[in-house]
Amino acid sequence: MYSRPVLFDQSPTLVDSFSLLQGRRKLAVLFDESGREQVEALMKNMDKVPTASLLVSKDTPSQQISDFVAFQKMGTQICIVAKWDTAYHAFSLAVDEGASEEEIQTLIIDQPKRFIYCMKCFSTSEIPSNESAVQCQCSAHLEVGPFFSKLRKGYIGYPFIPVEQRQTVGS
Amino acid sequence: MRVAGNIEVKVIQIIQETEFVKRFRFTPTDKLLLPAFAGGAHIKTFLQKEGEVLERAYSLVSPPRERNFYEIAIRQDDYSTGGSLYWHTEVEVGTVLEISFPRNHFALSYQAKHHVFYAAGIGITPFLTMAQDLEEWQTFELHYTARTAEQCAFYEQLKEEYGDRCHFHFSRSDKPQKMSPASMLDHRIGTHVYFCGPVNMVKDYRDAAASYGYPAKAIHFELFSSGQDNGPQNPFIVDLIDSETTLHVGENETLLDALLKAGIEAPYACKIGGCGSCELEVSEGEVLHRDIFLTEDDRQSRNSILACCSRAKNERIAIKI
Repeated sequence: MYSRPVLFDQSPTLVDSFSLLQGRRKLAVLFDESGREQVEALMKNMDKVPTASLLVSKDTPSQQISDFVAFQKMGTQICIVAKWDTAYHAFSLAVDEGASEEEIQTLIIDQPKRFIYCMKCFSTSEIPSNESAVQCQCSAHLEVGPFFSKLRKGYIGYPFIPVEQRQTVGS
Repeated sequence: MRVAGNIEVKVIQIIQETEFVKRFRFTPTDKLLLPAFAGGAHIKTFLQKEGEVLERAYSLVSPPRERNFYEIAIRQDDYSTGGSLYWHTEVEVGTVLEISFPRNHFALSYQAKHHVFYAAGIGITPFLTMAQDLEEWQTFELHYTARTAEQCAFYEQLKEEYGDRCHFHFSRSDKPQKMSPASMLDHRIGTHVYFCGPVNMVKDYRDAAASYGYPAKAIHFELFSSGQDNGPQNPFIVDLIDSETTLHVGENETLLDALLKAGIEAPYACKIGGCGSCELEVSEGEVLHRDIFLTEDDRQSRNSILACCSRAKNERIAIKI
């Protein structure tokens, strides 16, 4: 079974506020400028365990983020505080370096993005706001299914034929 | 192609690895290819001994891609109840026996970035095939403790094949080196740890890993002998809800023994509380847990018993089977 962790709107790593998980010996924080305030507050309260942090921006090379994660020992809790796109990128790199969902907490500063996988044309596209049905680039109408595919990185979209509104002659 | 049932094999070679460890090689009598297996797999062996069948599980130590023969390595156990003693004293080249298809309760994790094996004594056996599986595509290290280099099975082979990836700890050498769980503090994120050895060693390492912050999914273990500190073996009565039967479990038998004796096809594998195959749902009564498989959370949330080693806390228990 494909089970590589993916950041999505129902990810078990998403939190509203951080808490140091039991047994964790260190806190390593990846954050962007929008999360600076939360990180500073977090660090102030974290006097019992060692901490490390890395400010991530659009210009930060992926290798630098990967090296930061790879340098950490087992027992480290990875915290990601950033807007969705940065958090998604950092999360993916952390997982590449072997971090598991049990070791990551993610705090999103803006709104999580949702994606849908089209069962007709096999492409993935973003779901606007909280829509329960979307039109795919292949023109198919898709119902947003309840199942999130970690492989396709999106909710499975089931094609349906919409009920067309009847036009009244002369209206 | 083989599809089911046991495989009849003949012992074709016996190699004395150390004073107490012998390696047995056998080939199928029907000359068909043996099933492929993955690192960490084991087989069950069935030997005929004076009218009874000696059933024992051993890790495979032959190369996983080798399908013409299998090899197992057996240490003559000081407390042998017949299995290892019989293998060492009675089995010879030409002996015919039956084996099961390979099974694997100790597989490598394919999510790990780095693998670290901790072996005590003959607990080295599953790691021989796991290391071969990993050799080509992922990093690993092995920590292996034995009394002396002479009593360290596969010592030369490991040194030659894996060199500085192996860390040997000899407790009775001129400069004794104790293998310590504290080495787990230094492993990089993404490490999975694997333990194989006596119950106490496995328990200590498992608990240490959890206390160091290893997620449960990153901790893997296999036992090769049952615990000596099982405590009182109280007799009890068990009501089998589905079978509408009542059994008496005696002082010197396990719940699993009683079920099998009564002709009930209860599931099982390791028989030492390490794999969870024999887990049964408890519908009434309290359980005296003696396994190493269920975590404390599991014990609270899952109303179940491992029939191979756990017992009823009181005089009666009801289970679903």
